Amino acid sequence: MGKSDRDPRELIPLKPDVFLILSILARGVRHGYGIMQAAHTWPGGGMEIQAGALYRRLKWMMAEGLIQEVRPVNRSEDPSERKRDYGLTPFGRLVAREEAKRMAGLLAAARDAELVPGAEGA
Amino acid sequence: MGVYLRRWLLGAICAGYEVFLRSFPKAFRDQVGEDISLAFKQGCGSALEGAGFIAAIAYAWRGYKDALKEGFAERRASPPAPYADRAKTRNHTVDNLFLDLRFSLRALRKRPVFSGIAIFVLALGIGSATAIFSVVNGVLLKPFPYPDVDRLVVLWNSNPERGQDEYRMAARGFFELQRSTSAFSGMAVAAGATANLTSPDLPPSRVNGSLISADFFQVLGVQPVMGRSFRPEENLGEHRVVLLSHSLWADRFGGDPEIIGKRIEMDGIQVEVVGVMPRVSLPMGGSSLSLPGPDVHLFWRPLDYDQAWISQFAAHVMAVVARLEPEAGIFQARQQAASVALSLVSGDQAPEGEEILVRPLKEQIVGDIRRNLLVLFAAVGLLLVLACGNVANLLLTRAKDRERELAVRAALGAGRPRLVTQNLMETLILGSFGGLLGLALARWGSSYLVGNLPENLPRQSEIGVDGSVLLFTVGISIGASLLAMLVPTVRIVGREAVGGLKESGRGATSGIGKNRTNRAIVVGQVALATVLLFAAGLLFRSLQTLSRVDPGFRSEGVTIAQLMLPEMKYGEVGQVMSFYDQLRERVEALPGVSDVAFAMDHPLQTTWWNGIRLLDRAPPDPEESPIAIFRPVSDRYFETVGIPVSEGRSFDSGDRFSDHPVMLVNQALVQRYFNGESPLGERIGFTVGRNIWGEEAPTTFEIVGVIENVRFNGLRMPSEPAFHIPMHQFPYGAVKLLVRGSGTIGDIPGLIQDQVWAVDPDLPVTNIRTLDQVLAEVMAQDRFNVLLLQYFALVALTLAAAGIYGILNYVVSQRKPEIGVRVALGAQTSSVLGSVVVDALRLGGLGLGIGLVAGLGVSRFLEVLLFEVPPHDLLVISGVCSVLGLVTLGSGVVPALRAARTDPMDALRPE
Repeated sequence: MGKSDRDPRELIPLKPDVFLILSILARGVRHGYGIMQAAHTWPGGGMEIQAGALYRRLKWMMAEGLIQEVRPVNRSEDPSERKRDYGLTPFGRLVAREEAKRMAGLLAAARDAELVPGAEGA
Repeated sequence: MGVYLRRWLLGAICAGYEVFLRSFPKAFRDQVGEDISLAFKQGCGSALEGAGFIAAIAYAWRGYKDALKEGFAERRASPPAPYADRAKTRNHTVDNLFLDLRFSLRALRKRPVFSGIAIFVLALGIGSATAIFSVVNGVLLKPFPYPDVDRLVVLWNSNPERGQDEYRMAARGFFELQRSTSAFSGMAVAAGATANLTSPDLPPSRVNGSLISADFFQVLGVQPVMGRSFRPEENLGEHRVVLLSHSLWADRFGGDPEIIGKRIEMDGIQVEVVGVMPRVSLPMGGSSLSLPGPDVHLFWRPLDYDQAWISQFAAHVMAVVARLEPEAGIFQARQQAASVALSLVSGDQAPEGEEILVRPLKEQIVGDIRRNLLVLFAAVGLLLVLACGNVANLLLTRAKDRERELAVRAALGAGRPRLVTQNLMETLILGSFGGLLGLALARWGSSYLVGNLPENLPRQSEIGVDGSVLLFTVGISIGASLLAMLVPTVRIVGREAVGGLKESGRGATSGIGKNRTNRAIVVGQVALATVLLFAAGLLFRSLQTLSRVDPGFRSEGVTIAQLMLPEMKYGEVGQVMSFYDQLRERVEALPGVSDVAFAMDHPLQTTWWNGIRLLDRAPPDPEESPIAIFRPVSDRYFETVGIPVSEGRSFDSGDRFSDHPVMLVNQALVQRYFNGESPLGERIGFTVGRNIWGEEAPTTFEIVGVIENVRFNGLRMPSEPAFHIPMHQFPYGAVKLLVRGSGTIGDIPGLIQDQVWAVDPDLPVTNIRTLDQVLAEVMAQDRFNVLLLQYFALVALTLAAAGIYGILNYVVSQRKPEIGVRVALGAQTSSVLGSVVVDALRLGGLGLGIGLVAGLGVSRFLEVLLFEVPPHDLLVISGVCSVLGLVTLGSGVVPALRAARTDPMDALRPE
């Protein structure tokens, strides 16, 4: 429905976990539990996203056109292993980049205020 | 095995998750429900594999919360499905639950009296149980602040042959244990101590503490938060170092962060602070090892092994704490301790029959109180069950009222599960409100309890409403609701839906037999009330007997104050004497004071046992070396405390400076060691060693008088052999000042304080109490038990009465048409009245009978708390019977009058 014509800045600022999911998916397609695992070990702290919260975010992100379901290449035949994979849409990538830009600006301001340790020479 | 257990646990957790997942709307679940479950399962599985059982539970807990929170958020965010759609979906439990919740709230609001009574009854039960649980939790369940506390043990001497329970060890036993046992990884000692803290800008204060071996805290596993603990060499010779408790440091020294290395004045000498302990309960060596709360000011100083009273080995002053080797069990420790005890006895280094006890520290601290607390906890448990019974009864009665409504709803298609759910919902709402109100009651009750607890209850500072208490309240609220609704539910499930419509038709009567369940509950209530009343009655009688026991002295009008003369300031015996004399002179001059004396212990206190030798005759049992309680007292002591001298003379001022050491013994000593013959003029020898001034005490004393027995060890214990020596012949720095006054002298504590400070402005006066207070403290535990059980019995009785009243009222209203017919046909008022009262008595009688049998069974467990009252005391039994008879009659009268006043016209009028 023409979501890709939207201004990505409409959705900014993103919730931290949404931004994290976008960053994870920017590196490649993952299924739900894969996202949870990646979130846990993500550089810069990492967070525990619970399954319920994750799937609500995913639903919202799909509705906003940030991500889409991806048909995996080699689908397992075991029904318990069958699950959806998610990937970034071009619009989602735009939004993530926009949010990253915003956060970079914030970080620069924090550095000016000497809130970032060991960043003098940067 | 572990694999199966893990798989089972994971399965159970995931099954639980499915339930919480239902908080998501159905559409959402249809879409990604399986994915969510799978992701949760994988996450939980990896937590279980990676970090273990606890981590998995924690993960599950977070997952459950998340599902609940997100599910309801999603529900709010997504528009509800159109009604037609909703009707089509079979699975709409959650929607129904909300509907039921609203319906139940409305139903409960419509019957405010019913709801109010039910909530109040539940709150009473839940509140009482929670209040007692907060005590049980604090005293018994909360962990001790020491690592691996189960390996900590305490060692005592005991001598079963002489009926001596447990007493402190002498140095000889301790060193021998240290040398020749292998079951302990560490063994430390603590001896009780006190000190006067003085500083230029604060009033002097007396602080309790312990003299400890250097490894004491290492054995406990507690490190100082600041500074260091003691070094082993500090146990040899006098080292002026001290460790402060956290509260002493914070309160007295303002939490000075630079305190380490500073010098403070204790007993007139400068002592260096080497460390501050963390803010936890730490043990204090006294006559038994106690565990004061973290707010109590304490200090620790190194025990000087070279000091005379230690090196002489004889004084039993040491509480020994040890940690078991990881491989050693307490059994092995006991075996080794027993062999040490045997070798000491056979080497003539310990009296015949002396044994060494090894007790777990936990048991030592809370062991004695455990039983009492559990009895109380059982009592509140019964009370809660009673309350549930009452609510069940109310629910049943109401279910009857609502039979038509239920039948109509059932006829309109409400399935049984739906009816049950709704019932459950109502009861849970009642339970939640009851729980909330109960919690408020418990908070109040628990602070009331803490204010009234007997002083000997350990770990009082741990008592309060915390997370586990809250969890307990939630748990019992749900449990009580479920229990209360068990019977009504069975009724709903078991009955024919159509029956309700049929039954409530005109002219139907509910016979007595039909209320069998309600009646059984009432009988049960009466029975439980009987048990509690019986127990309360027995304890009350026991307390009465105890308070009639003659302690052997006259407590009224006697005030006690504790003094502690520091050896540094009072370096010579003469100074102590002159202090005593000056103080006595000043206090005696106060108006209304009739007698003044000093003593090491007050009459209800025993600190020292000593071995004695009979010099003029053979001991009655050559195998047994005599031992007796050692009590130094001043002249006028027996007159001040009111202990009669039955033979010979009392101490007088002439004994002070005489070279002729004399003593007074009690009747118990005469009975045990002199076969009851007059001991006057005979001599007794004993060695007590040196006092703190290094003076050698005399060793041979002539008996000049015999006094009546005094219950030194508390009112429950018979008198033990004891001997008194004049304090002036062997003075101590730590003494009690005893003053007898005529009662009209006003502020005695203030006056005593002034007089002491007039003689020595640096001397703190502590623990000023009347002897009556001391006596009351001795009975505090008994009084407390009675207070609580009386409360329970009263509540139980109220509940039972309400139960009887409720059921009879209900029966009468059900039988209204029948009674109407009978009255119309000419039945006498008295016969109608009688039939209801007989019904009440039948219920009461049956309950009473069952309760008495159960009570007699239970009372055997109470026997340990009873003092000279048989568990089947007839007075108590008859008292219980008459109280319950009256209550039954009373609660039956109102419904009976209502029945008798039935107007036949009114009763027979069509609905």
